Amino acid sequence: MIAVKLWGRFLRSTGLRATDVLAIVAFAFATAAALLVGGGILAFWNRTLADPSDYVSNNTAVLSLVAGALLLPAIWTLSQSAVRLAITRRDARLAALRLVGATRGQVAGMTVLDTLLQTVSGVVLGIGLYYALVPAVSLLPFGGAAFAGQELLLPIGYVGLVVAAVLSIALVSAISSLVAVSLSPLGVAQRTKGAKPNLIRIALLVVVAGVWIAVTQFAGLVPANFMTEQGWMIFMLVMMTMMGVAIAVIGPLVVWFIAFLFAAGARSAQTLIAARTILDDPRSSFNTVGPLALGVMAGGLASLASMFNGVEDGDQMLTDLTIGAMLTVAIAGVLGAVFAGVSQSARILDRGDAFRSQHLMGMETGVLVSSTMRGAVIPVATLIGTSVAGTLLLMLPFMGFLAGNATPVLVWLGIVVAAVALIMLATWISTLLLPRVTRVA
Amino acid sequence: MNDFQTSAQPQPAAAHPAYGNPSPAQQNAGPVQNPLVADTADIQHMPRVTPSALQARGLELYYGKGGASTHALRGVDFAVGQHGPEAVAVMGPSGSGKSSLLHVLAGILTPNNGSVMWRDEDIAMMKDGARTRLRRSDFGFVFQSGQLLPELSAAENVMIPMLLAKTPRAQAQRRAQGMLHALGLGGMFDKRPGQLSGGQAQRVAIARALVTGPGLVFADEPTGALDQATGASVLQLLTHQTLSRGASLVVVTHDPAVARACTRTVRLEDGIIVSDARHDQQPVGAAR
Repeated sequence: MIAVKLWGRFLRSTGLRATDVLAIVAFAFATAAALLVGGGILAFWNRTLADPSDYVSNNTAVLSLVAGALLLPAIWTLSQSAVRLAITRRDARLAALRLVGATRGQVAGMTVLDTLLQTVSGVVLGIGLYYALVPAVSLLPFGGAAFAGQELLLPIGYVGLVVAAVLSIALVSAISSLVAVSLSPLGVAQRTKGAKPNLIRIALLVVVAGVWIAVTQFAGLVPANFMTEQGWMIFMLVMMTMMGVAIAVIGPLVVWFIAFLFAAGARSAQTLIAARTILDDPRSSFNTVGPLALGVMAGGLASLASMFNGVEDGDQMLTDLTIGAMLTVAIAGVLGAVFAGVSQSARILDRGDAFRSQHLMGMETGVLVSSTMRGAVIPVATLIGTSVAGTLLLMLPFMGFLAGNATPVLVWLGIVVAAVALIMLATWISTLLLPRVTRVA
Repeated sequence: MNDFQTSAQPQPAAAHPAYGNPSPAQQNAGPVQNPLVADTADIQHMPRVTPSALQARGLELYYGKGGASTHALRGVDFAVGQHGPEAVAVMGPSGSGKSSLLHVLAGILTPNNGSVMWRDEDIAMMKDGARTRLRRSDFGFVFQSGQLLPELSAAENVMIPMLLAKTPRAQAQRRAQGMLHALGLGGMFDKRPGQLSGGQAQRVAIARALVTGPGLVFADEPTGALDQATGASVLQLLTHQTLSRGASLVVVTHDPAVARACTRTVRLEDGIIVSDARHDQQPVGAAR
């Protein structure tokens, strides 16, 4: 009860701060994305249920689950970053409260209340954003026809479920983040865990690789006519999920290794600071671009499907596959951009004192801007670049077929470029905070 | 009056490419660049910078506008380094204008009135970009805390000002390590600020401040976050390393012990200098 009273008093006295706005924006985009993806999946399944014999809608419904699975990590990551923002920016206040005798439970309770308020505000905005975006998304033609507006609108009960899911993510994340934070009277310290190679991570990777090999071997033994089409789809879903887990496990390590190379070879202060910042928290860099890299690869391969157009009755499904994949890449790009903006802004605000000192000692604000931008470019260029290059390599044998209809591939490349540009734009917008944090008096 | 002189005479030297192009102020002032040597063995016998004087006249500084404005500096005249390298303690109660004076002298803040002459140029008239470059090339800074980037190692933090001045990385690394070695941090090159004690972190900050061979070092409560014994040791190192290189030191402090270790103490009250006295005792750095 005391925690609630104190929380209310602090809320009235401090009002809304920049970090609160960032957290609310992150929750709003996470909610809107979750609702849009949920609405899309429900629409596809409703079409399937209306005509269970429709081959195209059956497969599209399963593929919509794949797209949802691809976007889930991005939504989860964004929600978690919002929670961390809510906690780490309250260092001084939390430590002061502990110093004057507040218990760890009371301080933790206030933090959870803060997070809940931000989550609810973000969720309300997110629901508004979702309703605003539905008309635009419904213009995309799936199954040969655009969606009717109400097809993508989730029933109120489902909206409640999504809201409950986002709130649960926020609560679970808040509690787990509080466990990772030492709230002592002397200050708040983040018990950070690096992403350097460790035995557990490597063991997990070995297990995933082992299961992958076993499953693929098993799949080879199954007679082709034994599995139904939907069975193969589910099999593919499992395989893609495992691929996602593998990428999530090794992704931060790859980012760490690349940043290590950049740090070792850095000739300028900007590159050195950027690489060291990534090495400090490679998971954060990976979270910005990881889901997008995965989406880029899936989208590229899906765009390849267009070359089979004109073969029997698969035309419509392949068209749907291509459009769905592009939509997935676009949503992953937007979520990546929001995450980049939120995490970089939080970093700049967190490092405010150090950046101000650097500026006082003669480091131009432009150098800090440049190092922040390089911190975004290094993982984007390497992960997205590798993803695009790898996909293009896979496409190489089919280039002859694509010559006649290269539009889907060009659209895919265009969306990738736009997504990367959006991430860089969001990062640049975060650097507008730098003159504010380096200002003296 | 005891005009402090260091034991060795200044050793003018040609500008060293490692420090990048000299600032306009340095070019006007003749042979002021004095490079630090590249390796550890030579770091103890570094050539010193030619002493330079900073002279401020009629400094006025206001915070805010209209009726709510605060008059932080009221016609302050201040000079440092006119008779050779010296360590000046700036003391006074909270809100007396100590930090404001330091910020104006270092070109961090522009005074509303008055001039700050350094190597034949008025810092107060310079544009923001030129003042930032001047701070990097001509001055060193030691703050109470927060001047080290937590992501970088000790050696990398010391390398930063040299990399900003386009010094080749290998050379910057050698010099940073040499400087850290000279300050007793030989085994700490790869440690990050979070892995260092308060005293060790301040020694890294001193290395960062001195590695480019500044003519003047500004310190704002450099021992404020340290215990008494560590603070005394850090202060001894700061004054000795600064003065023995031929540079002057301006320290803003509340601590009388810090003031006693300097060669001169200036007292401020309500934005006015109320006393300016040289000490009889030799400064810590002069004993060598």
